Amino acid sequence: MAFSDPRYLFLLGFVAVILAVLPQGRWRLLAVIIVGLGFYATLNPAYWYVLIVVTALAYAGGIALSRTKARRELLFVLIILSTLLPLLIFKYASTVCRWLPAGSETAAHWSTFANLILPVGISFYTFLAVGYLIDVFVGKVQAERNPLRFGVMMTFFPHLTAGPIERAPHLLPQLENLGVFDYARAVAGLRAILIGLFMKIVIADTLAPHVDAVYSDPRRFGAVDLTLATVYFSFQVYADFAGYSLIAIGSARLLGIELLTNFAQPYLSQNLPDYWRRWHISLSSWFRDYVFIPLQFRARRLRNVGLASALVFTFVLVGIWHGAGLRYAIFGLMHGILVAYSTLTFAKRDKFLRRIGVPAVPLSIGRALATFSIVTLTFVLFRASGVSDALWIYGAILGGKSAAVTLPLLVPALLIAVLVLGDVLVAKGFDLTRLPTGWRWTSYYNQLWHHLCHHFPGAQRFVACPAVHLFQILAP
Amino acid sequence: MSDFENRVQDVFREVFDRDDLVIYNEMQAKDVDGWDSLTHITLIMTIEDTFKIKFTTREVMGFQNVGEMLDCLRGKLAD
Repeated sequence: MAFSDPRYLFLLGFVAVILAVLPQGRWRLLAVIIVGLGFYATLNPAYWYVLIVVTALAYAGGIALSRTKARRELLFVLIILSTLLPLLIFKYASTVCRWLPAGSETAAHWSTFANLILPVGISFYTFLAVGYLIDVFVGKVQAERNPLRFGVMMTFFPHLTAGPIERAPHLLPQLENLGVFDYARAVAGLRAILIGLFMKIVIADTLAPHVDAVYSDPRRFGAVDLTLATVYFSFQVYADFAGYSLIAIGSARLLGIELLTNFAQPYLSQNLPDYWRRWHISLSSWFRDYVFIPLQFRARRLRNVGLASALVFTFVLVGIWHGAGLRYAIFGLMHGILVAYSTLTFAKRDKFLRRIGVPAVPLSIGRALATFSIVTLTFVLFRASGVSDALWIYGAILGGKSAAVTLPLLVPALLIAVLVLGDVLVAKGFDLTRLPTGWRWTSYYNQLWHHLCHHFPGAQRFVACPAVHLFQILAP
Repeated sequence: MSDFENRVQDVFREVFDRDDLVIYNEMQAKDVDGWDSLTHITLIMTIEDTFKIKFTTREVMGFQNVGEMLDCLRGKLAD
């Protein structure tokens, strides 16, 4: 069941009540595990047990690491590899199989692997498990001995399918709050869910068909359509993913748990390193702490060369994490090189621009636009059907290929403006909750009805749904 | 503050370019402006050079605050 499914909200409310009624302690923990596994099994009927396997491996691995003194390094490597193994098999085996010569005996022998479907959320809970094991190994966290507490950390349904990728030292100490109702936290949770639904259903789902129309057959379109579709795609991905994260964060709040922030106004970033500190933060900080920092530390005597190599290597891994395939590796390589360049030169460029007296506000807007443009161009690699299509699209956009413009501008531009304005207000420290009550409740009401009308079209007959009506008038 | 802690504090002041920086055991990266993953490495390397010691990757990954870094450093200097 997806978070945007209205049944999810009923389930969430039901779970919140059940947890509050159950006595704190093992029954509440057990109930959360059962709900998590049930939720996961509905999403993943074929491979639901992978979650249990990874959880059991990490639980036993943590205890083994905390008890062993001799040959601890070897044990650590074995535990990490076995915890990563399901992810590696499910994510990359089918691609590796496709490299085998078609029709050969080897290809036939391994054909089961060629058709594996990636279990939902596997990389998110695998990363949580691996991060926990590394933290136990380096002494950052004590091994969790209580299987129920460990099970809740791993199977807590809000973060299970799409993150944020949690960290044991952040989540485990909060389990005392599980199911403890707090009015302010619950309201903040509901607000996060509502904003998340708005981003997902209103913004992302409105932009998606325009992007699909162009990217399903890009060669029919000109530079303007390709540019618009590419920009729309950037905002679609952002609204979709950040919205989904907000629903996860809001759901967890309702159950007493604060998950990690996953997006912090990424499209206002002033440079690429800044962008990676604000986009999918739980993933980029995971790679920073567990891949980049140890690599850079080992290469520290090579100074800037070590730094740049560690960055490029880390970003290629981030790229390949998104999917097996050349274009993801190229995406990572491009970001690695650009982040390394920016890291090494930003201070100098900044000093120069300040010395020649470029005013702060235009500089900040210019930097945000430049960063956004670079990121958007690299997203072409994701959305295009392959590297050759992506290269063709770059050529058409930069070469100004002419053709009749078919994509609408007004509604997508309005939605994007709402998103950017919201981000600017949050970044400026403006507290949206201090708006007059009437404004806020009109907006909540509109959004709630929009959500209901979206899923139950019949609801429109019973009540005026102003936001939907406005959209129907504006939409082409 | 001991002489040892003063020497470490001088390293911090040099790396973060702030003469009034005062270190304490619970201090973390988020408590200091400009303490990111890059200045972090510079800090570690400057401490290594100043005290003529070497940290291991595992030690560096395990530091949660300045106090733990100081404890690790004290242990190395006592050997």
